[in-house]
Amino acid sequence: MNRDTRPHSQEGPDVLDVNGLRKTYGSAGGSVEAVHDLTFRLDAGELACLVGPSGCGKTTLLKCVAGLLAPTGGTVAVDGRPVHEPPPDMAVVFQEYGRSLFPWLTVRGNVELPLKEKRLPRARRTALVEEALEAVGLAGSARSHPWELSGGMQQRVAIARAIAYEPRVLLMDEPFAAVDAQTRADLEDLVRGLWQRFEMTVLFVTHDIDEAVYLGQRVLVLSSAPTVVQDDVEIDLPEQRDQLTTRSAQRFTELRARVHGQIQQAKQASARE
Amino acid sequence: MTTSPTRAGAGHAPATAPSGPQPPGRGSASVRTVSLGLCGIVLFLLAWELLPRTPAADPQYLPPASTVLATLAERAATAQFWGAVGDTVLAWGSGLAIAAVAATVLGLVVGSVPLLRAYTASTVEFLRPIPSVALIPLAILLYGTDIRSTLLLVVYAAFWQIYVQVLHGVADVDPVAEETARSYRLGRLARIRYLVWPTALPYLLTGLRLGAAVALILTITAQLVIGSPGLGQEIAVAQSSGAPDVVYALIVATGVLGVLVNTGVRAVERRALHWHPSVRGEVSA
Ligand SMILES: Nc1ncnc2c1ncn2[C@@H]1O[C@H](COP(=O)(O)OP(=O)(O)O)[C@@H](O)[C@H]1O
Ligand SMILES: [Mg+2]
Repeated sequence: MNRDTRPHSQEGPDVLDVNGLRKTYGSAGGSVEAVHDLTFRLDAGELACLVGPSGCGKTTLLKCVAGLLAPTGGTVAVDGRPVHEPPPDMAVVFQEYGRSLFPWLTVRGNVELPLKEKRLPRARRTALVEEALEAVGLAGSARSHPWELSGGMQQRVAIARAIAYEPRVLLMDEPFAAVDAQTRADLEDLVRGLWQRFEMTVLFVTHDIDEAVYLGQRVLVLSSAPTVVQDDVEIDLPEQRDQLTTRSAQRFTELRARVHGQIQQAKQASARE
Repeated sequence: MTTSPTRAGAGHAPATAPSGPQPPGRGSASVRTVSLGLCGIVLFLLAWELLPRTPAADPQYLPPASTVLATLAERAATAQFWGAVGDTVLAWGSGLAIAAVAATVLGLVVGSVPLLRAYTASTVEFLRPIPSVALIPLAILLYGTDIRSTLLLVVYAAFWQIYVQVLHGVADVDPVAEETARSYRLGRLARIRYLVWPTALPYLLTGLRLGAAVALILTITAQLVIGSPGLGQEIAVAQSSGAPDVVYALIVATGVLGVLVNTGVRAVERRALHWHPSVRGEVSA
């Protein structure tokens, strides 16, 4: 990870390249510009957090990156290939875990389904499913149905499904916004652990500044309406993070204040418009 | 058990289900329901037995329950009766099967293509309310008293019940689940198989239950009016030969058939929808 050359390294392999992205929702009553002009890049193996107020277009951006939504303007490229449909090495974890999991399938069935579609042989599928469930601490729940599990466990299943898919890029859209604080802290540590273990590029979207600073190597701050990348903050906290010591470190507080300041500034700027 | 946001119960109640998801019947509660139901039947039979013996009813037109049940038992010993039951079940079952397959395939296809759905919506709204019995003259013109006339009516009536439910089911596919499936690159066929079909299944089974009842009504009607073979025709014959006890016995037989059909579909529902909020309460309770 060539930290010195980021955030705009020219030689590093850009896994994700978002260039001038714009998205306008058209409807009968008029149009809503959700994303104005977004440009950023992620290096291979980076863990970047994208933070911005609710309604500023984070989900829209993520869907464009995931190939689920066609942008109105600009381009998205994964591994240098332009995205027009969901790219093969990408997995998305949605906020609404309960609706993202299929209630008629067991935990194992949910995790295995994308692998079947990938036409992996059975032995390989079994190995991947077991590894992923073990990694999220749900090895014992493979035969349960999602609705038999707590919210935090359901989101773990969704994460296991993403991990088993062996993505190069993992997108997460406010994945922990609906779980309680303790579960959330556990899941944050889980995500950092998985990122280190499986060497993926992770784009983690959140509206929570603390969460963004705690998790990321980098925090991209979005402004609201018109949505642009307001700031790109490097998080120079130690690699080994811990809910207690990291969050009480002075540097954490400083970074947090900086991100917070940027968001305030963005709000004022948009209010003046 | 589950915390929000889950899809549990979200809009899963199939549209226009008259007796939607059953409340969880567990332990003593369901035993009580059953014994209450039995009590009701006994009381009903008792009233039926006594009423013809009072001046209020003429036993010639309302024979007591015991007479009717004895006649039914008598009939049930004849091959003619079972032949009629067989004809009725055949016409009903094949009509329902044709309607179910056609409605499911068409419903999945039309429901998955918004443009197609929009184009066909008004036609469906016009065709659906046409009472099947209005097609009786047409059926006779086309097929005479052949089983095909009965099938025409049965298929027409049952088809709409199921088709409309399947359309609702397809429309109920959760957008987040759909996006999940697309993000994992499930193709159109895989999405139908793994997502649309399971989502629509509760609706399909509700449609099947409604369709099965309507199909039985139309089967009997066609046999009564057109005279194609079956219980309905037997009833017509018994009526014209002035045997009210036989008429009643056959009516009871059709009622029993209806109960069996409904119980059967419900059993299928419980097995196929073990994961569904309306069913799983019973399992985990
Ligand atoms: N399907 C849609 N049609 C029209 N407007 C939409 C749609 N989805 C989102 N929007 C609008 O776009 C803006 C950004 O939404 P979203 O991307 O969900 O923001 P965030 O995820 O940051 O909360 C909001 O103003 C929202 O109302
Ligand atoms: Mg969002």
